[in-house]
Amino acid sequence: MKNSAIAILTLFIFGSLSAQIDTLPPTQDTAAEEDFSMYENLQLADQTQDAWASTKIFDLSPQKLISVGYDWQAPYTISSGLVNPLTLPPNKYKTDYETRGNHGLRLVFNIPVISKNRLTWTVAGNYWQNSYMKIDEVGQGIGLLYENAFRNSLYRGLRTTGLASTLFVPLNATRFILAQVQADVNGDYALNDFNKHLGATKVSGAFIYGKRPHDRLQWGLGVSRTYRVGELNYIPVLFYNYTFRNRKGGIEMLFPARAAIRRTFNSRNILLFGYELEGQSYSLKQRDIQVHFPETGENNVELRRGEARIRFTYEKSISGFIWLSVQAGYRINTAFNVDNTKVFRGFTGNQPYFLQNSIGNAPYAQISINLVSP
Amino acid sequence: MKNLRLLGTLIAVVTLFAFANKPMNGDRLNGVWQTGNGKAKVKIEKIGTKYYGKIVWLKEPIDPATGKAKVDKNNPDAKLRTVPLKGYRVLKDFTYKNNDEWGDGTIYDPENGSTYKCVIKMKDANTLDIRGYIGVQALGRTDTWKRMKTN
Repeated sequence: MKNSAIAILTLFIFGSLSAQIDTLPPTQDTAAEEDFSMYENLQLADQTQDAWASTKIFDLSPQKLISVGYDWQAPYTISSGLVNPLTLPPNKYKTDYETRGNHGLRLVFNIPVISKNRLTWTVAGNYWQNSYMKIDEVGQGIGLLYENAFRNSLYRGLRTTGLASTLFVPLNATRFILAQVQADVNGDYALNDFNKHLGATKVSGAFIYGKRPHDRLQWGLGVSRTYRVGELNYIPVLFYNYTFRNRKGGIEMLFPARAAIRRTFNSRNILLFGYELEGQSYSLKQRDIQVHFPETGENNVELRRGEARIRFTYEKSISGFIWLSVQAGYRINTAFNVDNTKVFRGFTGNQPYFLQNSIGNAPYAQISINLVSP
Repeated sequence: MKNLRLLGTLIAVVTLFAFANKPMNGDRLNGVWQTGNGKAKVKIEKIGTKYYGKIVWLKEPIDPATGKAKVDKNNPDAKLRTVPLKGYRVLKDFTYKNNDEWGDGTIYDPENGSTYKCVIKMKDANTLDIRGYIGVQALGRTDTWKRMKTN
């Protein structure tokens, strides 16, 4: 009986002690230092297991799981020239007008569906708005029917809704394959006529074979099908991420789409300087476009928009996994032409556009709040 | 009646066995594990009723920037930035859930000073899937750890 009482008391005391250990500090709680040398030469319990190249290297700017952003461009002039009115005499018409800038929401998500050492599969989605503020005519022009139709599409706003799937497959401890396919619906649509644009979905993608020799370098070579300069092209790509030995900076590059040099102040503050090529081919389906442009079939008129953005980006953790990203720079136009959907120019094609526009360059800024990946 | 008594005894024995067996299953997590990138080894042990894991080996123990042993320099708590990484408790507060799964814990990433919610799944006796996540498990990343031979 006495023994039972002692046993119960002992259990109670130990139980109480256990319950008191809510958590432990991160450091050793024992007075005696552990002899860590005993862990030096341990072997794997299962020697058949392999190591796989990681998706990351040290200090890369954080991957954004969810991003809510706003993009703004300062006012600029659009000079619009009618080049290829197939049903009209081949005269050139030109009109200048000025927009008070454009702006729009940028929503992005990146969900790691499978994220393991042997395979990473990420599904991403994005929704970008590009709304053009009041557009004033600033010069005399002829052929306004065409340009008005185009302007009405810009007033309506251009939108991009996309889905992407990315696979990272390590082949061994240092080699990997990166494959991405993306489908974007770009156009002058609103929610109620989104379906009309599905037929003009643009599919792009990339395939890269790469190496990750150590924790501060990964690089690869591949090919890409892209709309980044506004219209379809097939180009070679160089993937290169490097962190300097002193860990104070590095390079993040997917050339020619983007490249940046990174300054790492600490793990929660980074500054990047570089550029990005941005572009889409938007299907234009507003009624005026259908009426006034020649050869206007259901899917025949598109705006090929391409631009280079030279910018500084500052990224900062504002609370745990919530990061603020502020970007400011200069947007340089590379293409803003109204085209026939079926035309493919590649590097050498010189087919004329319906409307050849040149637009002024402008400062721009972007701000976003992001939930970043572990 | 005799049969009923036998059945009752059987149920009691099985139940006792199940309860007695549960901590043993949980303790299979104990041991030394190598992280997915092979840069660290973590010793997991049970302290009280929970499981904790501390770094016991680093492939690169010296910080090239300082020439000294690596410390937790990215910790958001400035007081902890001089604490050596060797011996640092990166896994905390795990309890055994069942089906070779341990939960309710956190994992600390010294690379960026962030602490994530974490669930551990034992794929086989020598392999762990360690999933750190934010809020919901879908927003996370899994690292596969391998058991080291310790005797």
